[in-house]
Amino acid sequence: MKQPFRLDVHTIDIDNVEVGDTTGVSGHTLAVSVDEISDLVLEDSRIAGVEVEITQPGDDVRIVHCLDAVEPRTKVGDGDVFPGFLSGMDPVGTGETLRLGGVSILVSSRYPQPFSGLLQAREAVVDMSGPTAMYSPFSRVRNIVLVFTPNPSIENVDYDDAIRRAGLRVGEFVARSALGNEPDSTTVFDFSDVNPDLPNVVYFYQLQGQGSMADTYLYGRVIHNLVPTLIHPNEVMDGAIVSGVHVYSCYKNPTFLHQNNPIIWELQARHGKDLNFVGVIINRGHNYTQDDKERSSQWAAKLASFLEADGAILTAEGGGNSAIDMMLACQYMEKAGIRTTVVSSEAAGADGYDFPLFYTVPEADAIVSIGSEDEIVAMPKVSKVIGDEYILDSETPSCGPFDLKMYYQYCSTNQVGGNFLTGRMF
Amino acid sequence: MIRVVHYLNQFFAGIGGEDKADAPFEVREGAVGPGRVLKMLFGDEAEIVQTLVCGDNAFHADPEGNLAAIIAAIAETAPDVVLAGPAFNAGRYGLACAAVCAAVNEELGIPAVTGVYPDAPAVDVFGTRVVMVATRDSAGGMKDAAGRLADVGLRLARGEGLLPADEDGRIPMGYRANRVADKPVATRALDMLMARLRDEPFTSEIELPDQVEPVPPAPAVADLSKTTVALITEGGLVPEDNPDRIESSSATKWARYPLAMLAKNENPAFKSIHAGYDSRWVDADPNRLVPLDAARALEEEGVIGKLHEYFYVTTGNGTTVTHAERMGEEIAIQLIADGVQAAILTST
Repeated sequence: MKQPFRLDVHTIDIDNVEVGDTTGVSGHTLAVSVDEISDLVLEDSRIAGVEVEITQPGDDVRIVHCLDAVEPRTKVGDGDVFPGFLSGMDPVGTGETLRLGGVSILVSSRYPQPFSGLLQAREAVVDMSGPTAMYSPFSRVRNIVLVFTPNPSIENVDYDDAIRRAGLRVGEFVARSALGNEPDSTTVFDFSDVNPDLPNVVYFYQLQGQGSMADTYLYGRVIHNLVPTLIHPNEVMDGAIVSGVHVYSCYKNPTFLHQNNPIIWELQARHGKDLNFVGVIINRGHNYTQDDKERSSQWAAKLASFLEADGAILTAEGGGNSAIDMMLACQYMEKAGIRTTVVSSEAAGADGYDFPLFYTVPEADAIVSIGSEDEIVAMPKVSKVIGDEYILDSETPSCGPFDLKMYYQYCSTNQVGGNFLTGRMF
Repeated sequence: MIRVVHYLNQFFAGIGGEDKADAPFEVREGAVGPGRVLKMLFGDEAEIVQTLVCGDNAFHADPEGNLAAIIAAIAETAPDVVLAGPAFNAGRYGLACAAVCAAVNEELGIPAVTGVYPDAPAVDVFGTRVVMVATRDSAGGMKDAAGRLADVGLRLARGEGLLPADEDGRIPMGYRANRVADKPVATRALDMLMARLRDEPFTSEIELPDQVEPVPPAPAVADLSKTTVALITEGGLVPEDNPDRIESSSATKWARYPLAMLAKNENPAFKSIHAGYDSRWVDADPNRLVPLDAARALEEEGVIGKLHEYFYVTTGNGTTVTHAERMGEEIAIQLIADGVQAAILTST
């Protein structure tokens, strides 16, 4: 008999994180053992050292050099999260998954070698309190920050792999410590019932695949040659998509936001009520040639048609190149009779007077704005900094005050909807 | 108590209609005409300390002299905010109100607000510089117009800044800024999509701008062997100390460097500061971006008449259309002045 693709996501809400002798959850408090986490991380000799810092919303704290963020998740019973990293290629997305809600494992590091050219990790900042806290979604969660020291003999790409895996392993380890605790809530992800009276909606989910420091991983592999394909939303919930994007501080969708993709959560909530959530189409963003762009966007529209979609939500990651990929997909979907809504960031210049979009098609006339990357933000002085004494590539003390473009505010204009900013006309 | 200065024309000040439009500038104490409506709206929070009046024709007969007198009067009174009109669809009056607001704001640093009909001439001339609430086309809309003028004016006087144009009932000034949205992105996106699927009205959060004007291609070069050709790139190739400080993204600057310097490519060597592509291969051999080697060969063969002795460079990476258009125009003017008849543009 055909088995439904069903995932039960159990959530334990965490409202306090503190240092403890052993890692574990009691009620809504997560205790974190610095020794246990250090031992786990330092199994990988590419990492020379780690400091574990805890910071919570409202702290007078700034975190710098932010790289990936991971939500603690693990499987209850059989299976693994983060396939291709913590396990093999067995499909994920069924069974039961435990998540610790409101907590992030946030990775902060410099790299062992100097970078040159485009593909380098850029500064990414989170302020945990004050008016600048609104610029990062990670000011609203409790962060267990892993501040890594690289093994100086390792190349950057190799080191990047090490710290990505470390973040995932710590995330899984922390969640595993809560196995056996009673969840506060359970959400069932099962989209097998389709109501013929409701419209079919697909999610066009574009992932950045540009090169090292700007890659997304699907089951542990880069997506450079990806033709748009289907993925079940439950697989995304179980960590099938992992981020390695550090070039675009503001646009990046870290692993945490893939695991918690707000568009998927919203579609889950509306499935069977407003709409049928009929599938997720993933596409590589940053195709290099026009033919690649045409093939991908046409292919995505074709898949949406195969799914008999009436409507589609489109999101992307990255800058102008990727915006073209998404806008072309919008165009071909509309031409196929599929109504679209595009989520886009803006780049209207520091004074906001310029053309806000990198690329447009006439069909993209329903756009949700997640704000401008170009605004300059006055970062106040803070009493504590986690990560480093200085801002990357400068002699500016991290504690501030200094002016910082929105571009460098961690995930400030992520296009999957993790933040609350929007661009308004004045 | 917030102190307000109010500007009116002869009609609204009760002097008379078109036949009195040459009434000279005068200063009156307290509220006059529509100022009394504003006064009621202000309650105890603000008062109109002075009303400045000038006939429509009188103002435009000597705008500089009148503005100087108006600015001098306002500087002496030192109000917290200046309100002008509302002028509705009146052409000369609206322009005078907007000119007064622009001068007060830019010369005295005092906030100033007027109100006009969205199609009024003042919007074309001052719309991006002056805060204008939207009014109906005639004085029948006085009540709403005065309400918006009072709301926005007092908010600026309190130092609270503008709200988005639609919330203020203002005519948009053309700039966008970030604000916190009332609902999460996913909720807004699905609400918008559901509205589309149900054929219900919806409002896009970004209005599709007018499409960029297409640039007609220049006529083909008749005889390349008699043509001076320039090399241009947006690939960010600069001497390694980047002496002109061209930005690696969102560029506002362009520069030109001698081909002789590029041919030598040492002390300083060239490198790309472009932050939008992987420039390692360009750094290893700049001919991959600016095809000087191939172009020189064509010049020697006589295929190209002459290579212009400079190459032109900026960074094409998130560059705003405004700056791209300006830089393109500046480069074109320079090329024409130097007798260049054709150009090869290499992009990344």
